[in-house]
Amino acid sequence: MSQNKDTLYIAIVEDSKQEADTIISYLKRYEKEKGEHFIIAHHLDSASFLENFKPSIDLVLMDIELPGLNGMETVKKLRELNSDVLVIFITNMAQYAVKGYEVHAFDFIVKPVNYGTFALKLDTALLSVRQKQNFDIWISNKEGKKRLQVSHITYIEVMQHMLIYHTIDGDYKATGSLDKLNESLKDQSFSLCNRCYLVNLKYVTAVKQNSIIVNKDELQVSRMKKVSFLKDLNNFLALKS
Amino acid sequence: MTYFDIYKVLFTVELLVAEFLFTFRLKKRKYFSIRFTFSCLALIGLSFAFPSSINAAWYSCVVFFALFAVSLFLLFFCYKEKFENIFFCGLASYTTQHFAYEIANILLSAILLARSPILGMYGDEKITLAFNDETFFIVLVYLLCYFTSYWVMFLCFARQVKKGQDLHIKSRSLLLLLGVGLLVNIVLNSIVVYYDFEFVSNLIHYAANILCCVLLIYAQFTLIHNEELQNRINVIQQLWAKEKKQYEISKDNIDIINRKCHDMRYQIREIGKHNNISSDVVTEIEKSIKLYDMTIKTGNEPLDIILTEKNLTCSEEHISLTCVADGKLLSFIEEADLYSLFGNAIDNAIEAVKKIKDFDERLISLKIKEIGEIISVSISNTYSGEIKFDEQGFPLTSKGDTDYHGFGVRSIQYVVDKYHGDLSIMTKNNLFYLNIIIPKPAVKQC
Repeated sequence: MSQNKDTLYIAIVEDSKQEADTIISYLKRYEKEKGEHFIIAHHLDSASFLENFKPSIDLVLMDIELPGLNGMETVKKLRELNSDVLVIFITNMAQYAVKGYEVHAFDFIVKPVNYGTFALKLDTALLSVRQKQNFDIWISNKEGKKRLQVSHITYIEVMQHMLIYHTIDGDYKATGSLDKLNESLKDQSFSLCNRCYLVNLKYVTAVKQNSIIVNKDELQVSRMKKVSFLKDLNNFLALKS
Repeated sequence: MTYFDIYKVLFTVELLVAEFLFTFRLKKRKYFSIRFTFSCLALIGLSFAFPSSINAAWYSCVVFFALFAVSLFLLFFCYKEKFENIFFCGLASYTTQHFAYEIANILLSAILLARSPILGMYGDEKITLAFNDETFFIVLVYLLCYFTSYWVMFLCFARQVKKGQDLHIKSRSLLLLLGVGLLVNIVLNSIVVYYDFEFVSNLIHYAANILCCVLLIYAQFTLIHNEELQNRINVIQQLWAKEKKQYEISKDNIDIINRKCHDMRYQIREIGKHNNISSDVVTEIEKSIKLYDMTIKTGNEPLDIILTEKNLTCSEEHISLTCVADGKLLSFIEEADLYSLFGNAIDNAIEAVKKIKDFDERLISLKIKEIGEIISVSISNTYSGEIKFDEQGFPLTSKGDTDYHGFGVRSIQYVVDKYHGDLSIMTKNNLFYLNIIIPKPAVKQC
């Protein structure tokens, strides 16, 4: 079915060779079952992991009890380096809720790890990894064509039969229809908050009674769209890492 | 000058006074006093401008409605409110004015045992300036009636318009119907004023009765609807009280467990010292006790208690519960509400997960995070079989007791609404999600 999925880079940080082998065997099994392709790197301690860390890594599977710097501290270091890579902790205790939150962990897997749990957690993690990946669209106006990164668009506004693409790098005017755009961006976390605004849910930072804040701009939410918009936003934020 | 010349101005002033009584607590626009003074003068000026040469029922209605309509726009110009709120207050004001007018009519008719002399005010007769005892008496009764009626209306109704609160008009259709009711009322009255035939008055009587019936039945049915809602709220509140009690019990239980575990660790250390057991062994035993001490730490004490209690159930049922959560984000939510929210949500998740035969796939995951000014709570679990949703997006349960289970989700909804949040349920990637967003409360300024 899904043969041409892009390759994902996964790092495992685990001091026990045996447990690391188990995880690697699970990853191999998952690759086969789901038609994924992984490139896996295994580190025995955090020092080796931090030394070799590259921004291209998509997912880190991290043991908490490690020699030297422990898993939590390692990820804290990672965050200080401005990395927002997805991290799943593998641990034998359920206590680390707030500590995990503080370093923006994506999830925990409790030891001993079994394949069923592992595969399910990986499903959600990969969904989130793919949500972060970049996408481009082409827009056209009087000056010609221009390529925009979808992840940079904050919202799109209709004004006098033109579309205004508000992005983090500036605004662009172009021709087109909001309905068609809405259709093509359906899987890209966009939602209409009223007839004139198609909002990238990623940039919503506040919800008020009848409006929302999108990248510092306040946009009105219409009575008609409020329920569906909030539902989209709610479900999007739940999956966001 | 005719009577109607005076009456239309008098009417305008009466309407303005009533409108002020009903609206003065609404959100005012900038320079309110200037705006309001201007509006009063404009409306009174307009009332002067209407010619009073046409002497007919329809014409007096047109004048009154035109003045009323313009006054609504002027109110909109004075107050920063939704038009439906303005319309609501305007309608109440006009009703008050008309109520006072009818009171004066009925009183004067009864006292003088004749047609109310106020009715003459509509006519195009020239004013005969003859002040005698009778006119003085009529004016006095008239003023008294207006003053009392306005005062009663103010006490009973106008005071319900609170400062800084939206009116939350529940039924627009009823509001519209009431508008129509007032319109019919005024038209009927005009007809009474201008025609004095028995036949016409019979017709009017029937028409008024019909209108009355429609309003009665409408009011009656809103009653049922309200009662149904009230019942639902009662049930939720009962559940809520029960949950609160449960929370207190589990709080005590967790406290006892924690204390016992702590004591046990201490005792083992003591025993180890006295009996020369190697420290490695002691640490090992301590560690195993720690495993039973399954406290989840989110930084929010009530939430920790709930989660720890649920985690005990989970471990009994071979369910793995994982949390990535900053409980401090929810510190503004009352304890009982937290219990209602998380107790119900995790109970539902446990119920669903228990049906999975393979222990390895029994997973529940809780996430609480902040995104800007939004707090997102997500509880996801694995499930077996298929989940059907009702038209509101709530899952239909396979359990027999639909009601109780349904109320689980409804009490969650109740709490979410209380904190102006949103509740959404979805399935994705073979996981069932209960998602909540709640806006962070605004920081109170000192």
